[in-house]
Amino acid sequence: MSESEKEGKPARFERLYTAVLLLVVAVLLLLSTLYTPALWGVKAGIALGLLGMSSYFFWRARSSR
Amino acid sequence: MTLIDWLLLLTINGGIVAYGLVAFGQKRESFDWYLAAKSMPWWVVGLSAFGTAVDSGDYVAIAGASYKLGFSQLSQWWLGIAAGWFILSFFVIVPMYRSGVFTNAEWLEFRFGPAVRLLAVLINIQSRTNVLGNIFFSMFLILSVVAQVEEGWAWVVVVGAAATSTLYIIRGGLQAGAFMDAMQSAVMIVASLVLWGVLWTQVGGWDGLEQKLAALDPQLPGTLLHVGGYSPPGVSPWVVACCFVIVLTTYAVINQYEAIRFLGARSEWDFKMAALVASLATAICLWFNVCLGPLARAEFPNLAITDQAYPLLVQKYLPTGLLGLVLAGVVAAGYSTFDSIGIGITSLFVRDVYARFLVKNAPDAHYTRVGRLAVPFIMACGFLYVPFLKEGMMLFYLRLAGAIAVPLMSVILTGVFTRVHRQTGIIGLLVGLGYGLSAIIGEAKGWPLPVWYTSTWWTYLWNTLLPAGTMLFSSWIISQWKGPARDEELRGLVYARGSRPEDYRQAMGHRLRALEGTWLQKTLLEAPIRPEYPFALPPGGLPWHRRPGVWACLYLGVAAFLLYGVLW
Repeated sequence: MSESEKEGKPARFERLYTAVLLLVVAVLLLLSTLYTPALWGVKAGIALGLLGMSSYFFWRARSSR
Repeated sequence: MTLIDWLLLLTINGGIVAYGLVAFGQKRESFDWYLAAKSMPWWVVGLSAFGTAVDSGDYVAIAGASYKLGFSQLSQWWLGIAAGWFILSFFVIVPMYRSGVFTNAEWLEFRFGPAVRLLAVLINIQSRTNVLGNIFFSMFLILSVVAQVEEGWAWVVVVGAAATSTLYIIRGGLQAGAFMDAMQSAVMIVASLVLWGVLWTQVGGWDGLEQKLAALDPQLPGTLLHVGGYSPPGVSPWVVACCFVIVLTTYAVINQYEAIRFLGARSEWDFKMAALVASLATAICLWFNVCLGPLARAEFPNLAITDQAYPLLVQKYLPTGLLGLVLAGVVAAGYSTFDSIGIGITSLFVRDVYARFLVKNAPDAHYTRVGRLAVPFIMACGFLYVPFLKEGMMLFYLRLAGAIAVPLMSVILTGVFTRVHRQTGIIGLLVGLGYGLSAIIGEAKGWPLPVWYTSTWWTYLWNTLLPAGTMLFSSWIISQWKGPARDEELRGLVYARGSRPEDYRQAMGHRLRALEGTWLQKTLLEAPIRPEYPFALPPGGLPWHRRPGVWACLYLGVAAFLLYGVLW
């Protein structure tokens, strides 16, 4: 295994982990609007931001394969 | 708190902790565990310094204190701490980084002898375990007031959080702690922004807040919404501002748990840029947090325990989902300081007490193992302060720091910037401590002493000047008798532009006879010398936008203008 492959694995894991974590938090925030619609716009805005970042990390993880 | 709030809190913090445990392998060598092998980039060091400085106590205690003191506190968070980080990274840390020491107390022994080293360790332990107590108590308040958790169980959760934070430190050392801090910093800033944004909108912005405060008392907007608005009897607003600047300059200069992050940077350029990152992140986050005090005053005007302001605001204004997100930020702030105190104070205990005075020549792995074992004991010390925190955490901290921590800052700065004799360090420190403690006791016992002697605010000013003045004076007397301090005594220990560590690193290892043949000497001689820049210098020198000094001056100028021009 080359040095770059050795370094690539932890970086890919790091990006995937971050992407999944951000995705879960975004989903939880969206689900919270089911409890109460109060400030739903703020929650949706934050969740959208998190989903955007999550997609970016997924894309980076895929492209570093 | 609903299930979804708990899930948010646990997912965010548990996710970060789990990552820390998986991603950072066990470090066996002391250089790796304590100093991250001096490999960390500027943004990690900077965010970590911010995450370390701002803890969950600062969410609760800052809102609680600004409930009474208003925007006067901005002096410490916008200017005081930034000045401290810039002084640390541009001047104080430079001789420490180049000389190969692991702790600031270690440098103090080279400069001023073993007694100063030992006192610095004790002061650091006192001041940081006090902060740990603040964090424990603030977490407890949040859990019991906001989440309505029964008191006994709230304490169980607090202890659990402290215990889990020690796990990734025990495993990955400084590197794990600093990278985790960087992640936790993002959560902290988002949490502050969300709570501030919701409250600021609800209250009707600046105008709405002014009107609400004026309805309670026409003087209140003037007191709370201006940096120069707060001044207790016998103390001018400028003394208060000066005290607030000194308190966090002291914090940044003396604390090993901040210094160790900068010592772990991969180059000198990295730790200087880190100071800018830390200052900016702190300024943004703490603007939100300081604003919460006046907002709480408008909403809950008669709080007996002001530290309840933050939990009450959270409880009243945040709906499910946002509540979990904000509390996740508060808990992340706790984590980011738990781990920092863990590694920082452990490094002091192991290098400056254990290896220096008790077990001097064991194998390298032994000292890493002792460090790992010490982390939980240091955490436990924080609980000793909890019974004393009922009257307001910030005021209790201010009282003790003025008396005990400020003299150490004065001694360190005098040691870095002047050529005072080695013997003067202990004199300056004892004079400062003696005055500080007499002020505390005098006030507590009601001795007939003037306000300018006993007041918390004045002690900051006197304890900056007294130790430095005493050291300069006693050094002058020694010079009359023995002549000025010799170059070889000071080489590599005082700040000097352009000094090359290659020229004196070997001499450092043999400077103190007490270290001959010890593990401390071995690590000093073997620690690799890191470069000034992490990149090749362009032929014409660094362009202006890559110069840390330019950014530091710009930051300080803008902060001073906003504080003392716009908001005064």
